[in-house]
Amino acid sequence: MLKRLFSGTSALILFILRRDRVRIPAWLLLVAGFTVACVPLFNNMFGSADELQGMAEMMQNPAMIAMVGPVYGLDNYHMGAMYTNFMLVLMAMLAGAMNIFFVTRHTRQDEEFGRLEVVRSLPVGRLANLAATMLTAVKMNAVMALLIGFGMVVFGVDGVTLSGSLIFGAAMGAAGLVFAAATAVFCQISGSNRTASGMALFYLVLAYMLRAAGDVGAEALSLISPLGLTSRTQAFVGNYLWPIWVLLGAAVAFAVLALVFAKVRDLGQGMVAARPGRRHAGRLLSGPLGLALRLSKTTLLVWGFVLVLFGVMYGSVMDQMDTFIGENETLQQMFAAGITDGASYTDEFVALLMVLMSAMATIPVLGLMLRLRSEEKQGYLERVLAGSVSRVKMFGVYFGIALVASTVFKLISILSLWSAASIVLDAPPALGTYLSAGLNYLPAMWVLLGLATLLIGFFPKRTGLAYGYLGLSFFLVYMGNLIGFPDWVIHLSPFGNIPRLPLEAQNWVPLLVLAGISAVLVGLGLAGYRKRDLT
Amino acid sequence: MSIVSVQNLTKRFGKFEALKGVNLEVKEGEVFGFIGPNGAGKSTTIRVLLGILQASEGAATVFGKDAWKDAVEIHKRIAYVPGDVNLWPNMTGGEVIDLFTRLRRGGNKSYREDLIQRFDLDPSKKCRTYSKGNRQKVALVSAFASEADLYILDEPTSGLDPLMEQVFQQYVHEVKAQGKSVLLSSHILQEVERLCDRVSIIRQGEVIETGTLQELRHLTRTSITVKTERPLESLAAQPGVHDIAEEAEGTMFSVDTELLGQSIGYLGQYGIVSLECTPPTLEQLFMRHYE
Repeated sequence: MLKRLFSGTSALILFILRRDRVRIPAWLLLVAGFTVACVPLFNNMFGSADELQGMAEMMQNPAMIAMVGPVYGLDNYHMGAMYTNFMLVLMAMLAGAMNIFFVTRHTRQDEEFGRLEVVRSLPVGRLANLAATMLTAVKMNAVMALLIGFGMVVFGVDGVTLSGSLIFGAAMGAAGLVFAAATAVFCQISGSNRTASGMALFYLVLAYMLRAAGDVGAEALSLISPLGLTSRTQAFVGNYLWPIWVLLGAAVAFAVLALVFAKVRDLGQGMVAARPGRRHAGRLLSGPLGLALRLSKTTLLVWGFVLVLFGVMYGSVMDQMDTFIGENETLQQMFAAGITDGASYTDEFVALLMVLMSAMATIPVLGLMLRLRSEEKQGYLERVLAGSVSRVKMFGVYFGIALVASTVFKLISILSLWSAASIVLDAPPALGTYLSAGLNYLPAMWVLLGLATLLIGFFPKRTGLAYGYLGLSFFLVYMGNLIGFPDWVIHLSPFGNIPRLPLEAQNWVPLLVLAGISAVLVGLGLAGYRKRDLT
Repeated sequence: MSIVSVQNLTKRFGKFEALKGVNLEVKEGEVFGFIGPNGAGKSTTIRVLLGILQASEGAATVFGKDAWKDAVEIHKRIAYVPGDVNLWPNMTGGEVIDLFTRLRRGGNKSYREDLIQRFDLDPSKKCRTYSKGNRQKVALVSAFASEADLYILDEPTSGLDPLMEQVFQQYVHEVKAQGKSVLLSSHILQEVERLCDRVSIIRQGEVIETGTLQELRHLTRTSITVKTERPLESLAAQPGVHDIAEEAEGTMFSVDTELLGQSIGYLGQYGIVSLECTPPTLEQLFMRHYE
């Protein structure tokens, strides 16, 4: 009986490899290649003893710890220790994303499109597809781990030992597998591909947030996060294996759960039955605006919730900053001289969070605008435009929603950060400072929104570039200073031109310039959209 | 011997009851038609037979084996074509056909080439470029190349052009001639009429009629158009006569097929000038059950 449930698994594995003959190598090249290639790059930038010493002190800054993870091996802070400190969590996230996309693609997506039904009508076991997907994920992560494990040592960088890099690679692979298996569970629970991927990506972000809070304060939170566990291997320093076993154990547990769910449920259904929909259109659904709002409702609610959660989470560790710094005199001295007069660690942390939260809030804003394009691509828009609705109106509706959403998203994330911070801090921070620090980023978000409209108007097949530029913009401000990019490079990011309150003084000029740029982009985008063919 | 046997099959999705005690039987060597409107439960029944859905109550067996428990064994001997064929966008049609053959661990290679030619399919194209009809051809080719004993076809021609539909019908005849069985669910009643030995009509999760077309026709009305020398008196009062209308061609009405002889005798009294008698089409049969 058990064997029959898995009948045909090996043929399906070959099929998955064939389907993804380009995709899997491309992902592996990206993830493993990037991880390996950064070793000599970092060595060039921070290789000298002085630079490493500087990094060691910088990495102890709680804002840095929240961002990249805890510091180990301070007594002998070599390149290996620094590399793990800086890169392991971020690279494990990338591996997680790779696994999430891989698993949803081969399970829920195939099921939703009805492809799995045809496969299931063949002599193939009920669990064969899920098993084949998981086994392929195991192979994929193993190859990635080995590529990294043996790849990083070839440069002979000080402190980058073979055992350390094998553990580094294994930690990434094991974390990747946890995300693969967890995604498989989400794919059984939810009845739709979108929801399942959303849940999995949310789990990835949650894991990052948990470990950020855990690494700064409550250690236990890091131990329940797959990403937090990767840091606990202390690759190149302690080289502990136990976190890898814990991760693999968790992956197996998730995988078994997914298989049990898959065995019980009907094809095409989730474990949670879909609720019956409305029989009649609600009052809202009465025109282009109503339709667009109805379609955007889930995005608005889910992201609103995520942003509030994010704000509360980071707000509630704000007091840890003070204790952390209070306990460490040398740190206090070093950094009091280093940054702008009067700025505290907490201020620096706030400034960092504002960038992080703005970039995050931009994701749904772009999504809301680009829905105009995805509706077109799927052929839904045709039916609306065939009615008495003009293109300008359709464009305006989606742009309006995105514009309002950007402001609302910013407000709620600032307010939740501030509320949580004022509860934990003895002296509640000034709301005005938080508001202007956060709302300052709106013009930068609008530039990205403007870019999205421009792409819709002129390069409708390349709208994904908006997300790419968002990622790059975020990377430049988040990491640019650390890596030591020159100022002009950082200014390529709209976020890089925003005065960083409360560290810097308010300056309206860049804000107005960015708002102007975004207005021009939107104008161009609309003009292009009016003229081009709908496809 | 019955190839497919469904007894008292009930399927619930949460509170919604999709099938309410369905009974079905497909015998060896017959083409069995399964008709009903959208949402009546045709595809749900077929998915239970394929072991994709588990029955809430009742039994579904194929080749005498349990459709859910012995799905893998059963599937070695069946071929399935869904109405809405979705394929992996970055694979070619040829690759998909081969995958299906490999998963079935059998199938006839030379037959495959033959089928591809007759269905006029280009197997070197990526599935994303195929139209609905072409995707359906991929599924049909892999089904007919499989040398199965039972073909389960769920609205298999919904995207085919009339020419290809002919090719499809030829193949159904061919497999029938080889003594194999076919379960054909369809909306295209002409197709069912042409191909099927027996038919079941399903409505709202219940099978309401089963039998050969002959038997079913018996239960319904025959349409009559008649011209007589003298005006028909009290036609409406005759037993079994319905829907009387005066048209340019004469008087039209329908009569219960059981009482046809009686009606003709009655018409004879008035001197028949012309008489046209049409047996009910499946469409009329179908419509009657749904009115």
